[in-house]
Formats: sequence, structure tokens, C-alpha cells
Amino acid sequence: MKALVVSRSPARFLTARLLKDRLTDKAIESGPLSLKDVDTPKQPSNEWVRVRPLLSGICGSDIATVFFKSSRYFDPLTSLPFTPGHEIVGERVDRPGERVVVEPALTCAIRGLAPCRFCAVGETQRCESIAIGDLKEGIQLGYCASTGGGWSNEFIAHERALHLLPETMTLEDAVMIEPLACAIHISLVPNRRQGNLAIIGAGTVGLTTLAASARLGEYDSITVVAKHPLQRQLAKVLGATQVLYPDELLGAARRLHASQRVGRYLSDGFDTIIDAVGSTSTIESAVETVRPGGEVIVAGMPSRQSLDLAPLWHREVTLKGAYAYGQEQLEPATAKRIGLLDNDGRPRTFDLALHLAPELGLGRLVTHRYRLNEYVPALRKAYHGGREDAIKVVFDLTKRKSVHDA
Amino acid sequence: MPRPGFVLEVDRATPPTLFWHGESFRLERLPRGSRILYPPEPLNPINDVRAAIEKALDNPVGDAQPLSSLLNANMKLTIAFDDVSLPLPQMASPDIRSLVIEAVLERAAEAGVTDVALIAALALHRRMTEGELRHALGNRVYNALAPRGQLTQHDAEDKPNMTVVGETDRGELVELNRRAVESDLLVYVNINLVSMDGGHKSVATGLASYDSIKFHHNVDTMVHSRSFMDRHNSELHSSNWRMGHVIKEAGVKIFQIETTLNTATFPENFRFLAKREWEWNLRDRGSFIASSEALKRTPPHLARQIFQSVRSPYGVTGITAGEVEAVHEITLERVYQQQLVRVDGQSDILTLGLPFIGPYNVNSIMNPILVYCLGLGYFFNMYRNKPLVRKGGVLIMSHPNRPEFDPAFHPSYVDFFDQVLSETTDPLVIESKYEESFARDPWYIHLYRTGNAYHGVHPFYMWYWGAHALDHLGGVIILGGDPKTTRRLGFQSASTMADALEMARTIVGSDPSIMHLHSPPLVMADVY
Amino acid sequence: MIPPRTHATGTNYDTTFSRKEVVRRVRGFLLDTSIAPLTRSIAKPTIINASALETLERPIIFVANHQSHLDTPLILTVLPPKLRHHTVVGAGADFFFDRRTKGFFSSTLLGAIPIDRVRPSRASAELATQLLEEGWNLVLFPEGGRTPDGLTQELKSGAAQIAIKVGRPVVPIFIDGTYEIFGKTADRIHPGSTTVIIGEPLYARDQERVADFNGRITHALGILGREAATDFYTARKPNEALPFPAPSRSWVEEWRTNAHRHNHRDSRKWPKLFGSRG
Repeated sequence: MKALVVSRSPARFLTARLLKDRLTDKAIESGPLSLKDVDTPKQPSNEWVRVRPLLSGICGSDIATVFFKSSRYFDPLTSLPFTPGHEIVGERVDRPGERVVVEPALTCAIRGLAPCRFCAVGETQRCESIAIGDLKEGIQLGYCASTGGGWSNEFIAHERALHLLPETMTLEDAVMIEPLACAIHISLVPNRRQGNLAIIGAGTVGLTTLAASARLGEYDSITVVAKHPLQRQLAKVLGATQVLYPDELLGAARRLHASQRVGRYLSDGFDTIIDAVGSTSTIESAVETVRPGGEVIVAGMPSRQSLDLAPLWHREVTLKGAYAYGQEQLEPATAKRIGLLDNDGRPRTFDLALHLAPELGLGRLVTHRYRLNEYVPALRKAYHGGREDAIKVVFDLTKRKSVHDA
Repeated sequence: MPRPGFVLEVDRATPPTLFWHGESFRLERLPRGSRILYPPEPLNPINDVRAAIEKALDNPVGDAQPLSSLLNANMKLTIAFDDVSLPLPQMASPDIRSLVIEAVLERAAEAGVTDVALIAALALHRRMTEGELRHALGNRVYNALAPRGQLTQHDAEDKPNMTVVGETDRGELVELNRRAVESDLLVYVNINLVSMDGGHKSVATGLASYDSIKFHHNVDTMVHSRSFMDRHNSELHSSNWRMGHVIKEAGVKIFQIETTLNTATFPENFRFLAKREWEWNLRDRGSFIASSEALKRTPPHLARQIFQSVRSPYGVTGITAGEVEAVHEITLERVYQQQLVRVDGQSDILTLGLPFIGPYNVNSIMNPILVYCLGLGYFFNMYRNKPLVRKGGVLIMSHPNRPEFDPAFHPSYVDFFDQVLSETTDPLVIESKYEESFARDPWYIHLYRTGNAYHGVHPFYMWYWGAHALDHLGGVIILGGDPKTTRRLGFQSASTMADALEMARTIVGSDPSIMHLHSPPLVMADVY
Repeated sequence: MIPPRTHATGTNYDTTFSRKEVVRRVRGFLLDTSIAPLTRSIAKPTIINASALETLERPIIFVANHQSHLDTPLILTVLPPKLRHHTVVGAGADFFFDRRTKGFFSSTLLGAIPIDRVRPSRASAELATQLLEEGWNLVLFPEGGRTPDGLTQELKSGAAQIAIKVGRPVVPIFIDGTYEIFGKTADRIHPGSTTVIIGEPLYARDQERVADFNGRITHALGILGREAATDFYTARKPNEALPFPAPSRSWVEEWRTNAHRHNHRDSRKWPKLFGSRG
């Protein structure tokens, strides 16, 4: 079967990194990713099943891997060669027609181990066992050599990682469930989900977080910083109170409470800022425009950067990370508001995402689809993102012969 | 004998027409049959200005005594004067204000008046810098009064030093500078560059607070000021006149001194600007080509500095002193004599070239909101009777309209552009939804009081200034304007005149009549 | 760690090095080649009665009114080289010698010596006396500081006292116009023109009291001040009010004394091309 594979080749990694801005197509072609004929990985136990992807999303972290931009910190946490793709809606090979979404975390349960102290309490995103057990290293399916990934015609997944889709759900909504789960977790990280929230960035992370925060929080206002026309339009639709260009953020933060400003110092600002980009400039501007004592959530995947943290120190700002998801704590009032009646107050994030997906309709964020062999334009489109009116780019694997064979 | 202004009809022999384009120029060929409104030539100035001032002070008009008889040693005398927003560009030394104020102070010194205060009547404008004050007042006045704290600038947010004078019969609050109100005599020294200036507006607006100014600086008043350059048909002025009567009844004694200038706006180097294109000689062509080519190659900030350092060789055409209303009627006559040109019939399209300077960007940047205000506020309203362009017509104005702001002078403009204009451009919505929060923003107030910033509410007034034009026009096109910025203002941009006219035709029909308002210098149309 | 102090500041600052021959020559060279030309270009002095300076023999006590920091370089500029190169200037110890670097430059460039202007001090008086006896000319500003508002202030008697003690003549100098160029409250220099009027030397009479001699110096400066505003003969008419010290500090006084300075210079001198009439 065909699969896109990231293979071990320092020269190719370097080429991709050097050429990514000037010659994007060339960078992808001569980069570490290539379309290969490979065998489906062996199932470690009979709890594992073969899955055929239908739609498979391209995530920001995938792009970072392909262009070798991600932090070297992740290198030991992946096992080469691997097939990327962890935002997957597919069907089980053993039960054709049964559509499933994959929860990609490779936790203790999935690796055939007894639960670690985090898994025991449902915080699977903090699982200790990312490098041991039945499988090779890999924080998620799509970074692990033993499982394969979504950018292929077939991969293997643990039965416990599969979530059955309701009949009525569209494939687009379904492929957005994994990103939505991330967004739900991000929007539940702030201590107080009230007052004024700002979200910097309006790519997939920014927009899904906006949708989730609008639904799960009780904010007076949600400000979104977005550069590109489609992003700005979608931000409005998904519940932003105001949409700003990056250089307008400081002024807007000051106007919020008519506070004093001296140079870059602001006496007040947003209660919470979610940085859905993760670059030096966005983290710095978040730290400067949040109110003293406020919280900045870093949700976009950052890498090595040099930051001026003087305002963080002086204004006593909290800088928090938010990665993936597991189990959430939901106040009864919020649970009731979103119509989640039958729960113990500690729902799994993925279940919340499945619950909210139909009403949020995030399938509209899927702007571009490509076949697997069109991976060069697909990745270019995803890399350029908002600049080229793209939000979520997916591989469309439904037109495969094998589907009809079955 | 200076020639009067006139309307020229463009024919085959008409050379291209000069348009201001911010800090540069454009030459545009207008379609045959278009009309161009040429301003009158500058009137002959008074030769001995000092003598004319003395004469005016000794022979006041209306119900007023000569200045000397109003002065005594134990009195409290306040002299208020127009700020840096007049004249435009700044006048070459000596500034007429300095000559008048010197004459007034000379008499005050003779009478031994020790309690003298000079106040820059800023209203909600920015404070003047030391250099600007020295220029407007002259060094002698500045050195005599500034070190003693007797030269101050009006501070509309200094509530303990403001006082409520009363209310008009329409409930308009009159709140003025306490020192001015409590003086035994208030002398106001004005420059009447255009017919909007002067009269009761000098004191009732120049020395007032936001709570008082907001009664006439609002959308409703501005839409009913047709135009605000025509004092007798301007609701803005009616309101100020009602306030003026309240001030008079409260016993505030005002000795108004109004001065008028001719339109000798540019020095020798830019002589071609004021000449009619077909009269350009070789030297004018040479200096036009040299300066416009040089400006094309000059970075904008440098070009701005060069233009902002222009000092105009204005000549004084008249000085009148005495009772406010009597003085102002004479002043208006003089302004009209210099600027008014009769025009028959409105046009479908009005074209304008917007210069580098307006009242609110002296020594600073003409930001997009000021571009809007200069075109739709000032130039559009340079009419009497009827606007130059018909109801539903199109205004084409030429300016680069770059999104540049002066953070020190116009801090609230930046936020207005970013936050308010991105939501709406409707003056009524802007007024009801945002004005209060900008006007009361403590940071803007702090910068207005201690820095050189315009008051937080000032960009709103700019927007209201254009409300009548917005209401009247069917479309606005900024020729050569930055597209994104122009869209934010709610307008369209065009890169060439042909494009602009084509766009205008989709609004006003295929065979439009076109009128071009030629500037510099200033001209006011009397449209029948 | 505070470094050990080898030199004190204020009146205790030791300026001996600045009168060494080599430093004196360097100062003379800098005065002639840079400070004096620069001062002339900023202040454009008109000197009245310059010939009075030609016949003077060292050491002399020059006494001037004080309007600006420009006064010291201006006086040094108008003095003929033979006097200029042997002149020290009394400068406020609290201002010019509050830090050692400042003291170093003041004394090296202008030949400043620290004078205590807060209270009469033996040290200052003794230093001044000693330098006069060594043959140095001394410039003093007995108003004890720059005028806050352009009007003259009362003269302190230190200069008269020193003159009586050493028996050398006092030459009054009236400076007019430096306040407009760079007064105490100005934020920057506004180049302009000045008038420097040199008076005739005054000698203390036999057994003359300090207060009386100070009164005569004040009167002489008053006449010069009026001459700056009018002309030689008007200034010497009897029974006219003298501007020294100013009878009142109101703006009217300033207005009257400066009637001769109608100064309509455009604050911006460059570029002249665009209509600013320099």
C-alpha cells in the first residue's frame, strides 16, 4: 500500500529547512518525506485493528516535522521512519462501513502496560510511557514507526483508540474532532474563563479554540488577532467580538479599560491571552498585553526562541503551556449549558469533542483537499496557510479503489 | 490690481491641471468640457501693519470703547489667541498675532497692568511647543511672560480652572476657562484664514471644555451646517452665537481683534503653485519639474519635513477690533472679498487635490482621518448656497493616504482608525457607540494635558466634520490612495484619473459634468 | 565599593592644575580657535567702548550682570587676548564643581574657580585674593546666579570686598541679550545678537566702606544697562530710574527694559530657502 514516509536522512532534513521559504515545492520534493510502497505494520496483539483513512488532516506540527523546523527536543520522542497523520477519520478494515475517529495518543493502555500515575487519573497527555512497551518511541500515532499514520492507505490502531462516529456526522466535521479536542483542552486551561480573552492567531488552532472558548467560557469579549481575509471572516462567524491586525493589539488592550500606557508598558489588559501561534513576537506581545497577574496560554507549538521576559516578571504574568488532551474537569453549570447531562464532572476531552462537533460545525474549516500523490501542493498550501486562504488542508483518501473493492 | 477668480472651461488648448497630492503634485488632463474653479489672486496687503493695528485699537467698531480707555493698573487682563492650527502653513515672521499682541501689551504696560495672562485658545487641540509659541508671539512677548508663568495654554480638562458661565435657551452648557471669564477684560486675537473662523466661535469654542463643545461638535449640528463655512447657514455657528450671547449676558467683557490675510501662500520657490497653468513661464515649468521630480525621489518623511518648514509670505488685508459681532461681519466681508468666486450650477463630480497640510497636522503627519476631514470637511464645505457637487454626486480627491500616524500628536487617532473605523464608518453610530469612551479615556487626557496630543475625542470631530458631505455624496474616490487604508475609510481608491472618472461614471451616469476646485490658494464657491 | 576620593568637590575642588603654564596655553589656544568663534556665531556681540580694555593692566576684577551660561564665554571672547589668557572666572561651586568631571572641564576650558554662593566663605575669598595677587584677572557675577526672568538682581558685595582688599580696579561690564538666546528657563539655544558694554575702571576710595563701593559698582552697571537700551547720553541723564537692580519683577519691567529688542527671528533658521526669513 501507498504511504507518505518520513525517513532518516540528515541531508534531506537540511535541504527542506534551507529551501522552505524560497523554493517550497523543491523543499518538499527533496525533503525527508516521500511517497512509498510499504507494508501495513504488524499488529502487536489482537486488540489492534487495521484502519483505512478516509480524510486525514495536515497539522502544524506535521508541517514543522516535514520542514525540520520543530524543536530538537522532539527528536528522541519519535521513531523513524514514520508515516505522519494523526487527525484521522477512517473505517475499520475488519468492519467495512464502520466509520471511526482515532484518538492518537500512544498511552500505557495502548502500549500494553499498566497505567502510569497520569494515565491512572485520565491525564493521558502527560503519560510517562511514550518510549516503552509494545511500540517504538512516539508521542502519538503519526510519529511512531510501529503504527503507521493517517497519510497512507492503511495503518493500525488499538481498539480502545477508536471512537465510533454517529451516522449523521459529515467526514469534514469528523476530521476536525481531533483538533477540536485540543482546542477544548486549551480553552479549559485558563483558571478563570471570564472577563476579556484574546486569541492570537487564526489558523486551525486559533479558530477551533475560539469556537470552543465561545461555547465553554463566559467571556465578556473575545478578541482575535488575524492577518488574512478568510481567517478574519471565519473569526467573526465563530464568535469573535473584534478581529484585529497584529499591530492593533496593544492599542486594543489599552482601550479595554482605558488604561495608562508608557512606552510598551500597559497598566491593564486582557485577562487571558491564548497564543495560537507560538512565535517570539506573539508570545512577547501576549505577555505585554495581558493584564498584570493575567495568564498567557501557549497553545501554538513553540520552538527555541529568545524572549524579553521583563514584562512577565514586572507584571507578574503566568505563562502556561497547553498540549493535547485527556480528561477535563467541568463545572456542573458549564456541563449543563452545553447539554452534557449525564456525566460525573470529569468527561474525556475526546468525548466532549464528539459531543460538541455537530453544533460547532467546524467542518467548514476544511478548505482544501488533495490526493495522497499530490502531497507537494498539499503541503505547500498548508505551509502557506492563511496567506493562501487555507485553514485546514486534508488528504482525501475516499477515492481509493480499495474502498470500492470492499 | 489683483485679478478675480473665475471658472475656466477645459478645451483642447487647456494645459494639464495641477493637483496637490500630499507632499507632491500631479498633473492631470481633465476631460473636455470640465470646469476649473480658479481662486482670485492675492489682494494687495496693508503696507504699514503696525499703524493699522494702532488705528484698529483706537477706533473699535460696534458698541466698544478704545482699548486704552479699558485698561487700568489694578485690572485683570487676559489675552487669548488662536493656536498653531492657523494660518496654514505657518506665517513667515513676524506672525500677525505677535504684532497685535505686542501692540496690546504696549498699551497694557503704559497703563501699568501687572496682572496680564496670555492664553493659547486651544480648545481640544494639542498644546503648542515652545518653538511654535515663540513663532506665533514673537520672542519679546514670550520672554516677558513665559518665565513668569503668565503665558499658559488652555486646558479643557483642568476642571478647577474651568467655570460654568450658563446655559443657552436650548440647554447648551457654556463652560469656559475660569481666568478668561473672571478677567475684567478679555482680548481675543484671531486670524481669520477661512470664513469658519472667528466671531463668537473664538471664545465659545476656543476656551471651552469638552462638556460644552459637545453641544455643537456633533453629527446633528454638522449635518445641518450648510456649509459650516457660511456663518449664516451654519448650525455650528448658530450654536456658538447663542453661547456668545450667554457669555455677554454673564458680563464677560470681550474685546475682539480679528485679522484677515490674503492668499499669498507660497514663497518664491513654489510660485508656480499659485499661477494658472497656461501662464507658467519657463522658470515655473522648470521649478515644477525640478520639485516634483525631486519629491518623487525623496522619502516621504523628508518631503514632509521640507514642506512643513515652509513659511508663508501672507500679507495682512485687514484688522478690526471691538464688539464681537460687529467685528466679525466686517471680517467676513474681507474673507469673501479675497476668496469668493461665483459658480453657476452644480456638477456631478467634484475633483480636488489635497495638500500636505491641514489645520491639525502642523509639524506632523497627515493621517488618513485628517485626509478624510480635509477633503470632506474643509474643501467640500468651501461653498455658499449649494455644494459644488450635486446631491448623490461623486468626490474625487487626490492624496497618497498612507496609513501613517504621529504617535505623539495623534494617539487617539490610531485607536480610532484601528478600532472604530474597522467596525463602522457611520458618523451616527460612531458618535453614540464610541465617543464617550474616547473622550473620557484617562490616558488621552493625560497626554493632552501634559504632552502635545490632541484630545481623545478629536478624531470623532474630524469624522463629524465630514458628516454633511457623507450625507450628500453618492461616492468618494481617493486618487492615488493606499487601497487598504482607503477601504477602511469606506471609500474606493483609483490609481489614475481615467480610472477614477470611470468608477465615478458608474455612480453618476455616463456623461457627467466635472468641476475641479483648484488649490492653492484657498477659494470659496458661491454656487447658484 | 566607593573608590577613595583623592579630590574633593565643591569649594574644596583643587583647581591649581588649571593654572599651570601648559594648561593655560592649551586653554588659550582652545579659546582663540573654537570657543570664541562659536560664541561669536551664536551671540553676535556688539562691543561698546572696547577701547577701554586696551589700556588696562593686569590684574583686573571684571564685574558683570548674569543672564545666561553664555555670559562667561562671551566675556572671554570680547577681552583682548593678553587679558583673556590670564583670566579666571568665579563660578558657583554648587553647580560647576558638584562633580569632579564637571569641575575638571569648567576649570580647564574656562578657567573657572569655585565660589561659594550660598553663604560668604573664607576659602573662596582667599582663593580669589591670592589669584589676583598672582596676577590673574578675575571675572565675577555678583548677582550670585543667572536671572530667573531677564531682570537684573541685587549685587552681592563680595566683589567690592575683594577689590578693596587687593587694591585693584573693578571694570563693570553689562551684557544685554544672552537671556533671549539661552536664558535660565530656555530649553535650547536661540541664536541672536547681543550687546556688551564696557565701563570705565572703578577704584575703591581711601577708607571706603564695602557697601558704598558696591553701591558705586551697582550705579555704574545701571548706567551701562540703560545705555544698552537707549544711547550714551540718555543713559547718563540724571534722575532717570536705573535698571539696576530692577525696581519690580513684573512683566512690565521686562517689557520696558527690552523695548529695544524687537526680535522677530524665526525660530527655525534652516532651511532658509522655503520662506523662513532668517
